[in-house]
Formats: sequence, C-alpha cells, structure tokens
Amino acid sequence: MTTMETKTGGKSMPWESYHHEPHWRSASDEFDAAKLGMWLFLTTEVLLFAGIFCAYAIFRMLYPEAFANGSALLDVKFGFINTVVLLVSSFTVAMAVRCAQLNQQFWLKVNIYITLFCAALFVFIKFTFEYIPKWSEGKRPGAFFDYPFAHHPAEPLWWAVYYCGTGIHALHVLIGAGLLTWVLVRAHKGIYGPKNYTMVETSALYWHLVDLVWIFLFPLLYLIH
Amino acid sequence: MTHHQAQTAIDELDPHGFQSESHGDHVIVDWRVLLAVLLALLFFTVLTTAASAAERWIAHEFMVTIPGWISVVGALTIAVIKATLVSMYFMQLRYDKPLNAIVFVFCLVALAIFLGFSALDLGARDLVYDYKGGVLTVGGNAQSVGQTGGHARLGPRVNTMNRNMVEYARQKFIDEHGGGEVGLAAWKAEMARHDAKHGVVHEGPVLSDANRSIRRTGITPHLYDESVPADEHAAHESNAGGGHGDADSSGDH
Repeated sequence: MTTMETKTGGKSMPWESYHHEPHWRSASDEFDAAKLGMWLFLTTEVLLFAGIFCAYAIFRMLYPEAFANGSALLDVKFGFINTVVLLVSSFTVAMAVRCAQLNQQFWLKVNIYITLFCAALFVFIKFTFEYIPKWSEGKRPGAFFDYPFAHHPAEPLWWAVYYCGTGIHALHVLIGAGLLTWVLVRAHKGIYGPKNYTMVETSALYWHLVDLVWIFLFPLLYLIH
Repeated sequence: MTHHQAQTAIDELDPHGFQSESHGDHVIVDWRVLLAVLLALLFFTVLTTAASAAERWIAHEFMVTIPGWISVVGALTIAVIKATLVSMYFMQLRYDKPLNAIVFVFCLVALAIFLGFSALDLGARDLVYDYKGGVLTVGGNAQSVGQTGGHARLGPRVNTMNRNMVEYARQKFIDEHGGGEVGLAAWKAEMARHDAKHGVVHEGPVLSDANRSIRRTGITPHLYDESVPADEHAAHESNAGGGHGDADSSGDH
C-alpha cells in the first residue's frame, strides 16, 4: 500500500495516482486501444473454437446416429448446472467492472471472489461428475475408446469431439480464473479504481467469451439429439 | 510530461468523465440492467432445457417422430439470443465504440463462411458425384483404427484385428466375462440394462434425431459383416426402425 497524501488529506489509493503511458494522448485513448486489442484477441479465440464447432457439424452430418447415442449418454443435469454457474459468474464479473468504475473496493473484491468460486465449481463438476466417471467407464476418444455398450462404430469420434470441445473450454476457464486471480491480487493492493480499470474490464471480456462458448457447447452437446 | 498536463480539460480524478457525464462512451452499466440480463439468461437456459425434455417426452408419450431440425433450430436460436445478450450488455458492445462491435461482427462473418461452406461442400457432394452419395452421406466404416498407417497418431496403438473400436471394446467385454456364449449372454444382459438406463433403445420412434432431417441413401457398406453374430445382426435391424433407412438397404450385403 502506498501512503501518499492527497490534496484533500487522508490516505490515497494507488489508482488515484495512475497516469497513462506517455505515448498515449489521454487515458481514454489508452483504454480504448487496450480494449480493441482484447477484442482482436477474442476473435482469434472464436476462430479457435470455430474449428471444433466445424468438426462437430461435419461429423454430425456424417454420423447422426453416433452423435444422438453419444449425446444420450451425457447427463443434462450437470450441463444445466454448469451453465447456470457460468452465467452467474459472468454477471458477477460484469458487476466487478462496475464496482471498479465506481470505486466500490470491497464489492469489487467480493464479485471477483464469487467469480473465482464459480470457476472452481465449474471445473469441479466437470471433472467429478463427468470426465472421471466417463473416462473410467471407457467412454474415451478415438483409440482410447473402451466402452462395450456402444451402438454405432463412430461413437469414439463423438467422444473425441466431446473431450476436445469441453476440454479446450475447461482450459479457458482455468486461464480465465488465473487472469482474474491476478486481478484480485492487484485489487487487494488498491490498484483499480475509476481512473484505472482497464485490466478488470479486459479480463472480464475474456471471461464473458468463455461463457459465450459454453452457451453454444451446452445445447450442441447435451440438448440436441 | 508537459503533453498530458496540457490536457487541462481532463479531471485528474475523473479522466473518463463519469461524474460529469461529458464522455458518453465509457458507460457504467446500471446494476439493474445487469441483473435483468442475468435473469433473462437463466430463463432462456431453463427454457431450452425444458424444451429439449418436453420434445423427448412428447415423442415418447405420443409415439410421434419429431423432425430432428426442430430441436436443432430451437436450441440454437435460444443460444444465439443468449449470446447476443451477453455480448451486448455484459461485454458492453451496446455502449461501446462501434469499432469493437465491427471487429466482432466481421469475426462472426468469417465463422459463418467457415461453417457454411464446409457444410455446403459436404452436403452437396452427392449432387455432383452420384456414386459418392452413399459413402459420403453415411460415412466410412470406421475401421481405420486397425490399419495403423504412418506414425503421427495420438494415443495407444491398438490392434483391433480389423474390427472398429466399438466392436473391439464389445469383444473385450465378452472375453472378460467368460467368453463365447457365456460372455455374450453377460454382455446382452448388461447392454439391455444400459439401454434402459440411457433411453438409447431404438424400438419405435422414441428418440428424434438428425437422421430424419437429412437424406440418407443406405447403410455403411460391410458395417456388420462377420464380426457380429447372425442373431445379433437381425436384432439390430429390427431395432433400427423408425425411419433410419437401415431396413430398406439390408440387401446391400
């Protein structure tokens, strides 16, 4: 904690002395450029997941029965719970941005804590109730497949699409949680406030993208038969 | 240093003009708006899940075949609505400078081209090459796992004796449970239990699926040749009713 004296007296928060980098005309320009950069990065993320969605579409066209059978083996309950968990976390992280903008330091931290808890809950549900039981039953992708009760010879392919799609998404959940942990540590130091919330906002954008991808993965994998 | 000090219009404690409302492009979204969006998202999640369950219940209860495209279009429409809500309000595209939204929309156009042309290509090949229709629409025989060509492969090398992975796993279970008739009986009992649990049974129009929304021209050639016992083969065909297109092509092999 820095302990500078402000004009009005009392201890000042680090964010109050934030100055934009000298090569920017204003803090506003710096913020806009950072946000645009994050959006450009998010487009590459969308195109990364586009490959998985394309694989899903093509293999579903080729093996509709295998995908219907494989989808029936997923438990909609856990997909639904995880969707709710991610939506709530998206809300709390949007609230965190708002709190940073309004200098509500306590609620900024609380909202990030809730978001991180949701991230942990998502991954916990994913592994405990989905990945680990399914893998141990032999419902595995490709050459790992060892499930004696499949109907269609292309069901290993369904599991390959399932594990790739949800696996890369889960990896993004972990990366997003890492980013938000960093934001939280810095928030505890009082770095974020009305003059400086760029990193809160860009991390939040990343987290929303993780939510966005799951919004499509959930119906495609769990609901459509 | 003198450069930004010259910008006297900027209030050092409020550079984005939140208090003065002079800079309209950095909006602090009202928490009531965010909460309303969250509730809408939760509502649509319940709606899409309930619609999926209702569809399966109606198909099962009234013994009707619901075309596969209905669940696809319904679920994806709701997903697009949810994604729009998230990007417009949570990601603030509605309040943002238009450049960010333009970047994102162009990305979605690229995505549409990518997915659209892939689907168009695959779906229309049989229009050009008549002989490819049967193979391409239904897919290959999924037996390439046994033929290990090249070294660039992920996972273990499994010698499946030219069976596909599903049949290989099935045979492994049968062998582990006594083999032969004993193992087969054990497998059948377990399979019936499994099908009842997951509702995968193909007797009558229980499940709606994508089979009914696309044109199919026949079963994969040699799919169940030899590796499946004769009675099992027959059982599979009688189970495959409900417009799977298997029965009318059973003379192929």
